[in-house]
Amino acid sequence: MSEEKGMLSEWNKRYAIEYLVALGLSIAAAAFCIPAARTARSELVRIGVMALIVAAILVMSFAVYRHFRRVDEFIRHLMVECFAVAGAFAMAAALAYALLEMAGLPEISMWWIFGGTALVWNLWMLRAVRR
Amino acid sequence: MKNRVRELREERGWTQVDLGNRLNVSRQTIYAIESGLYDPSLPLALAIGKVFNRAVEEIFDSDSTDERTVHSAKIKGRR
Repeated sequence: MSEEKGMLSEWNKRYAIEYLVALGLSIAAAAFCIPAARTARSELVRIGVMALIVAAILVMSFAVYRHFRRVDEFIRHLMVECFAVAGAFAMAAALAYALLEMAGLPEISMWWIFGGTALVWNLWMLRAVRR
Repeated sequence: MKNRVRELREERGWTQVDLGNRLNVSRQTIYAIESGLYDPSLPLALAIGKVFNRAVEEIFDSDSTDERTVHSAKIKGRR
Protein backbone atom coordinates (compact mmCIF):
# COMPACT_ATOMS: atom_id res chain seq x y z
CA MET A 1 0.00 0.00 0.00
CA SER A 2 1.25 3.47 -0.83
CA GLU A 3 2.04 5.42 2.35
CA GLU A 4 1.65 8.76 0.56
CA LYS A 5 -1.54 8.11 -1.40
CA GLY A 6 -3.48 6.10 1.18
CA MET A 7 -6.24 3.55 1.06
CA LEU A 8 -8.32 5.07 -1.76
CA SER A 9 -5.45 4.75 -4.21
CA GLU A 10 -5.06 1.06 -3.29
CA TRP A 11 -8.82 0.43 -3.61
CA ASN A 12 -8.93 2.28 -6.93
CA LYS A 13 -6.00 0.24 -8.25
CA ARG A 14 -7.77 -3.03 -7.46
CA TYR A 15 -11.03 -1.69 -8.89
CA ALA A 16 -9.30 -0.54 -12.10
CA ILE A 17 -7.76 -4.00 -12.62
CA GLU A 18 -11.02 -5.87 -11.99
CA TYR A 19 -13.08 -3.42 -14.03
CA LEU A 20 -10.69 -3.36 -17.00
CA VAL A 21 -10.61 -7.19 -17.08
CA ALA A 22 -14.43 -7.22 -17.04
CA LEU A 23 -14.57 -4.48 -19.70
CA GLY A 24 -12.13 -6.46 -21.88
CA LEU A 25 -14.35 -9.53 -21.49
CA SER A 26 -17.41 -7.50 -22.46
CA ILE A 27 -15.74 -6.05 -25.55
CA ALA A 28 -14.47 -9.51 -26.57
CA ALA A 29 -17.94 -10.97 -25.97
CA ALA A 30 -19.55 -8.20 -28.03
CA ALA A 31 -17.00 -8.59 -30.85
CA PHE A 32 -17.68 -12.32 -31.00
CA CYS A 33 -21.39 -12.45 -30.19
CA ILE A 34 -22.88 -9.64 -32.28
CA PRO A 35 -21.66 -11.02 -35.65
CA ALA A 36 -22.45 -14.58 -34.48
CA ALA A 37 -26.00 -13.57 -33.50
CA ARG A 38 -26.54 -11.84 -36.86
CA THR A 39 -25.65 -14.99 -38.77
CA ALA A 40 -27.42 -17.46 -36.44
CA ARG A 41 -30.44 -19.10 -38.02
CA SER A 42 -32.20 -20.19 -34.86
CA GLU A 43 -33.82 -17.63 -32.55
CA LEU A 44 -32.77 -19.69 -29.54
CA VAL A 45 -29.09 -19.67 -30.59
CA ARG A 46 -29.30 -15.91 -31.17
CA ILE A 47 -30.68 -15.31 -27.67
CA GLY A 48 -28.11 -17.68 -26.16
CA VAL A 49 -25.21 -15.92 -27.90
CA MET A 50 -26.44 -12.47 -26.88
CA ALA A 51 -26.86 -13.69 -23.29
CA LEU A 52 -23.05 -14.07 -23.21
CA ILE A 53 -22.75 -10.27 -23.57
CA VAL A 54 -25.21 -9.79 -20.72
CA ALA A 55 -23.11 -12.18 -18.60
CA ALA A 56 -19.97 -10.15 -19.39
CA ILE A 57 -21.80 -6.95 -18.40
CA LEU A 58 -22.83 -8.62 -15.14
CA VAL A 59 -19.14 -9.28 -14.47
CA MET A 60 -18.55 -5.52 -14.87
CA SER A 61 -21.38 -4.80 -12.44
CA PHE A 62 -19.85 -7.30 -10.01
CA ALA A 63 -16.53 -5.40 -10.20
CA VAL A 64 -18.39 -2.20 -9.25
CA TYR A 65 -20.16 -4.05 -6.42
CA ARG A 66 -16.87 -5.43 -5.08
CA HIS A 67 -15.43 -1.90 -5.11
CA PHE A 68 -18.51 -0.66 -3.27
CA ARG A 69 -17.99 -3.31 -0.58
CA ARG A 70 -14.26 -2.61 -0.32
CA VAL A 71 -14.27 1.18 0.20
CA ASP A 72 -14.84 2.94 3.52
CA GLU A 73 -18.16 4.40 4.71
CA PHE A 74 -17.58 7.95 3.44
CA ILE A 75 -16.51 6.87 -0.06
CA ARG A 76 -19.48 4.45 -0.11
CA HIS A 77 -21.72 7.39 0.80
CA LEU A 78 -20.23 9.36 -2.11
CA MET A 79 -20.72 6.41 -4.47
CA VAL A 80 -24.40 6.19 -3.54
CA GLU A 81 -24.70 9.96 -4.10
CA CYS A 82 -23.07 9.60 -7.53
CA PHE A 83 -25.35 6.68 -8.48
CA ALA A 84 -28.35 8.76 -7.42
CA VAL A 85 -27.26 11.82 -9.41
CA ALA A 86 -26.44 9.71 -12.49
CA GLY A 87 -29.76 7.83 -12.15
CA ALA A 88 -31.68 11.09 -11.89
CA PHE A 89 -29.83 12.42 -14.92
CA ALA A 90 -30.64 9.26 -16.94
CA MET A 91 -34.30 9.47 -15.97
CA ALA A 92 -34.57 13.19 -16.76
CA ALA A 93 -32.64 12.87 -20.03
CA ALA A 94 -34.71 9.87 -21.19
CA LEU A 95 -37.97 11.61 -20.30
CA ALA A 96 -36.95 14.93 -21.86
CA TYR A 97 -35.86 13.31 -25.10
CA ALA A 98 -38.91 11.04 -25.22
CA LEU A 99 -41.09 14.16 -25.05
CA LEU A 100 -38.97 15.90 -27.70
CA GLU A 101 -39.33 12.84 -29.94
CA MET A 102 -43.09 13.12 -29.56
CA ALA A 103 -42.73 16.73 -30.68
CA GLY A 104 -41.03 15.56 -33.85
CA LEU A 105 -37.30 15.32 -33.10
CA PRO A 106 -35.55 12.30 -34.69
CA GLU A 107 -35.10 9.09 -32.65
CA ILE A 108 -31.62 8.82 -31.16
CA SER A 109 -29.63 5.82 -29.99
CA MET A 110 -29.91 4.76 -26.33
CA TRP A 111 -26.12 4.85 -26.27
CA TRP A 112 -26.33 8.62 -25.80
CA ILE A 113 -28.29 8.17 -22.58
CA PHE A 114 -25.87 5.48 -21.42
CA GLY A 115 -22.81 7.58 -22.28
CA GLY A 116 -24.27 10.69 -20.68
CA THR A 117 -25.16 8.81 -17.51
CA ALA A 118 -21.67 7.30 -17.26
CA LEU A 119 -20.14 10.74 -17.82
CA VAL A 120 -22.30 12.38 -15.11
CA TRP A 121 -21.52 9.53 -12.69
CA ASN A 122 -17.74 9.87 -13.24
CA LEU A 123 -17.71 13.68 -13.16
CA TRP A 124 -19.74 13.73 -9.92
CA MET A 125 -17.36 11.19 -8.35
CA LEU A 126 -14.35 13.20 -9.48
CA ARG A 127 -15.85 16.36 -7.99
CA ALA A 128 -16.63 14.54 -4.74
CA VAL A 129 -13.20 12.96 -4.15
CA ARG A 130 -11.37 16.19 -4.99
CA ARG A 131 -13.13 18.11 -2.19
CA MET B 1 -20.54 18.33 14.31
CA LYS B 2 -17.31 19.97 15.49
CA ASN B 3 -14.45 17.68 16.47
CA ARG B 4 -10.83 17.67 17.62
CA VAL B 5 -9.55 15.11 15.13
CA ARG B 6 -7.25 17.54 13.29
CA GLU B 7 -5.83 18.89 16.57
CA LEU B 8 -5.19 15.41 18.00
CA ARG B 9 -3.69 14.19 14.71
CA GLU B 10 -1.35 17.17 14.45
CA GLU B 11 -0.29 16.77 18.10
CA ARG B 12 1.01 13.34 17.12
CA GLY B 13 2.65 14.61 13.94
CA TRP B 14 0.54 12.33 11.75
CA THR B 15 -0.60 13.17 8.24
CA GLN B 16 -4.18 12.53 7.11
CA VAL B 17 -2.86 9.50 5.21
CA ASP B 18 -1.17 8.16 8.39
CA LEU B 19 -4.40 8.45 10.36
CA GLY B 20 -6.39 6.98 7.47
CA ASN B 21 -4.09 3.97 7.32
CA ARG B 22 -4.44 3.45 11.09
CA LEU B 23 -8.23 3.52 10.76
CA ASN B 24 -8.36 1.67 7.43
CA VAL B 25 -10.12 4.59 5.76
CA SER B 26 -9.14 6.99 2.98
CA ARG B 27 -7.44 10.39 3.31
CA GLN B 28 -10.61 11.88 1.81
CA THR B 29 -12.62 10.46 4.72
CA ILE B 30 -10.24 11.98 7.28
CA TYR B 31 -10.42 15.33 5.49
CA ALA B 32 -14.24 15.19 5.42
CA ILE B 33 -14.42 14.39 9.15
CA GLU B 34 -11.89 17.06 10.13
CA SER B 35 -13.62 19.75 8.13
CA GLY B 36 -17.05 18.81 9.47
CA LEU B 37 -18.38 17.76 6.05
CA TYR B 38 -19.09 14.26 7.31
CA ASP B 39 -19.99 12.83 10.71
CA PRO B 40 -18.50 9.34 11.11
CA SER B 41 -20.58 6.30 12.00
CA LEU B 42 -20.49 5.07 15.61
CA PRO B 43 -17.98 2.24 14.85
CA LEU B 44 -15.63 4.71 13.10
CA ALA B 45 -16.03 7.30 15.89
CA LEU B 46 -15.15 4.58 18.42
CA ALA B 47 -12.13 3.56 16.33
CA ILE B 48 -10.99 7.21 16.24
CA GLY B 49 -11.33 7.36 20.02
CA LYS B 50 -9.26 4.19 20.35
CA VAL B 51 -6.51 5.45 18.03
CA PHE B 52 -6.19 8.69 20.06
CA ASN B 53 -6.77 6.89 23.37
CA ARG B 54 -9.63 9.26 24.22
CA ALA B 55 -13.35 8.89 24.88
CA VAL B 56 -15.56 9.69 21.89
CA GLU B 57 -17.19 12.65 23.68
CA GLU B 58 -13.74 14.18 24.25
CA ILE B 59 -13.20 14.23 20.48
CA PHE B 60 -16.67 14.99 19.13
CA ASP B 61 -18.60 17.98 20.40
CA SER B 62 -22.28 17.09 20.62
CA ASP B 63 -23.18 20.74 21.49
CA SER B 64 -22.26 21.83 17.97
CA THR B 65 -24.57 19.28 16.35
CA ASP B 66 -26.45 20.40 13.27
CA GLU B 67 -29.73 22.23 14.04
CA ARG B 68 -31.76 19.68 12.04
CA THR B 69 -30.33 16.77 14.07
CA VAL B 70 -31.16 18.52 17.34
CA HIS B 71 -34.65 19.29 16.06
CA SER B 72 -35.21 15.70 14.96
CA ALA B 73 -33.90 14.41 18.34
CA LYS B 74 -36.38 16.71 20.14
CA ILE B 75 -39.25 15.42 18.02
CA LYS B 76 -38.24 11.83 18.74
CA GLY B 77 -38.01 12.67 22.46
CA ARG B 78 -41.61 13.93 22.47
CA ARG B 79 -42.96 10.65 21.05
